[in-house]
Amino acid sequence: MRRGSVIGPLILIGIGGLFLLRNVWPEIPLVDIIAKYWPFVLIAWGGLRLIEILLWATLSKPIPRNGISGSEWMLVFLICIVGGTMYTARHYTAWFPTGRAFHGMVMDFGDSYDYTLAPVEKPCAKNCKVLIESFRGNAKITGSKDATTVNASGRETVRSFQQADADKANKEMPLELIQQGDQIIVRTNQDRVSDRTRATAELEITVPIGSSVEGHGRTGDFDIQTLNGNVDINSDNAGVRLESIGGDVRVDLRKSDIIRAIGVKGSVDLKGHGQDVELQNIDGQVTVAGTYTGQIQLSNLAKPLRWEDSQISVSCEKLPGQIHMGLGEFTADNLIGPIRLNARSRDIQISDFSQALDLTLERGNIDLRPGKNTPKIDVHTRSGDLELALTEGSKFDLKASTDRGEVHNDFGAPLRVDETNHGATITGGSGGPQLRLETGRGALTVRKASADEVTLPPDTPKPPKPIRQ
Amino acid sequence: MNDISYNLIQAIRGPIMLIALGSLVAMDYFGVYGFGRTWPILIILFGVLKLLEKVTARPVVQDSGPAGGSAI
Repeated sequence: MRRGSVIGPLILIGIGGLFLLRNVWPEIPLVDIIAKYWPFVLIAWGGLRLIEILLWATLSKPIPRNGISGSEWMLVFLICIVGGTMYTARHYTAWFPTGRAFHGMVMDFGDSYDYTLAPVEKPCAKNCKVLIESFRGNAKITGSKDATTVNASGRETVRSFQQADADKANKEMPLELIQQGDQIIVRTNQDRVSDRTRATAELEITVPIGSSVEGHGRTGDFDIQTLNGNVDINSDNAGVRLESIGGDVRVDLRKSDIIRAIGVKGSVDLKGHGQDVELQNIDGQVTVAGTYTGQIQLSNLAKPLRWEDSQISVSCEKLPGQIHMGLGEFTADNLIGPIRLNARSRDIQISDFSQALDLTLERGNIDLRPGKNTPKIDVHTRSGDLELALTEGSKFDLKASTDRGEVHNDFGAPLRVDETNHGATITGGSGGPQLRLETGRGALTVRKASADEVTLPPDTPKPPKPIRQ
Repeated sequence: MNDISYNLIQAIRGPIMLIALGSLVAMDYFGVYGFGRTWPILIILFGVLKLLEKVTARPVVQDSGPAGGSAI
């Protein structure tokens, strides 16, 4: 600022005054005021400077060569850019390349306004179907034994640059229940509002316990409890938590942070992409086709498991124990049925299994600890250490080899080691299921299982005592 | 007097341009005339002010060399 000018101090006073105004009266739409009236700052600035110069000329004081210096023009340019952008964002959403960009801006800079949704109710049959139309937000659906109606209530949060827009949007999107045959549709009407606002709903829905639920969402979580009907969830981005579901579950998500299902009587069918998956106490078949990159925890599955991932495919007939899959690891304990596992790169540890295992791995270490009755095992890996813990006295016919690597026979007789060029083979046994293990590169270890490694699951009948030979 | 007028016009050129810029943008925002149509006024105004500077500038005196004529 020019020395002796009052413009600099006045600008500082103005900025301080605006912030003070905002703090004292938060409801003042300051952003709107600035967006619309900033050109008057330039007019006032120019006017004041003009008066100053004329005054200096009248008083015969030295007149500056340039009324507005170069740095002041830079500041003017900055004001124009900021003010123009604010005005554009406020008035002309169509100028933005996409509505998504403006939505992002609303989410970043807009304010949040909360509203209570008027509760709605609709009578329905005990086994009616409830369809939740596509919406943004979270839904909690609970089945009730006594309910003969579908009840919906909740809150709506609207983000926008000013409250008037949010109020208008809230009025335009009432929560509705619409009956269509034996189906009740839950509609949030979020698609009615303009691009200048963004609404998310928190829905609480109570339905008769025999109902089926079909939910569609854009972004938000589904939390469903105590239902005897089927559950079908389809969303772009959701977390799904299900508990005590009597029917089948089908979940198809483009993106998810978690899918959790605990206590499902029917089958579970998962599709899509996501991170964590937790399935527990599932009575029906579990089928998973998709890509899940987080922590996977499966336990107590009464029917077959079919897991087809881009990185790993697993199948077994029953899982009384558990399977854990994380980044680069697969740990399973107490599996029943022919087990088939095909993976690219990860470390595998499987313990307490008593039926055939077919394992193909591209890269990774394998640690196998079968149960007391050693089943047929067929294992191939291109690269990785192999370790097999066998129960003393169990029957088997072993042939394990490594093309390049060390061999450790900690089991002792009747196994014998034959050294080859760079690797070795361990063969031998007492007659029984074939154990075929191959690794292209890696150490091969066969050892005796310790006592705590051969514990039997409580629901598995005790196998007959092996006959020592 | 010409010196004072020249300096004065040179000094007020910036503030006048600033007022004009602010006015045109405000007119746009209040729906009078769009800035897309009125922006040439800024160039015209700048030209007028430069012209005024030239008019009020002190005429350049031709240097006729040192007194006594050329040494050649």
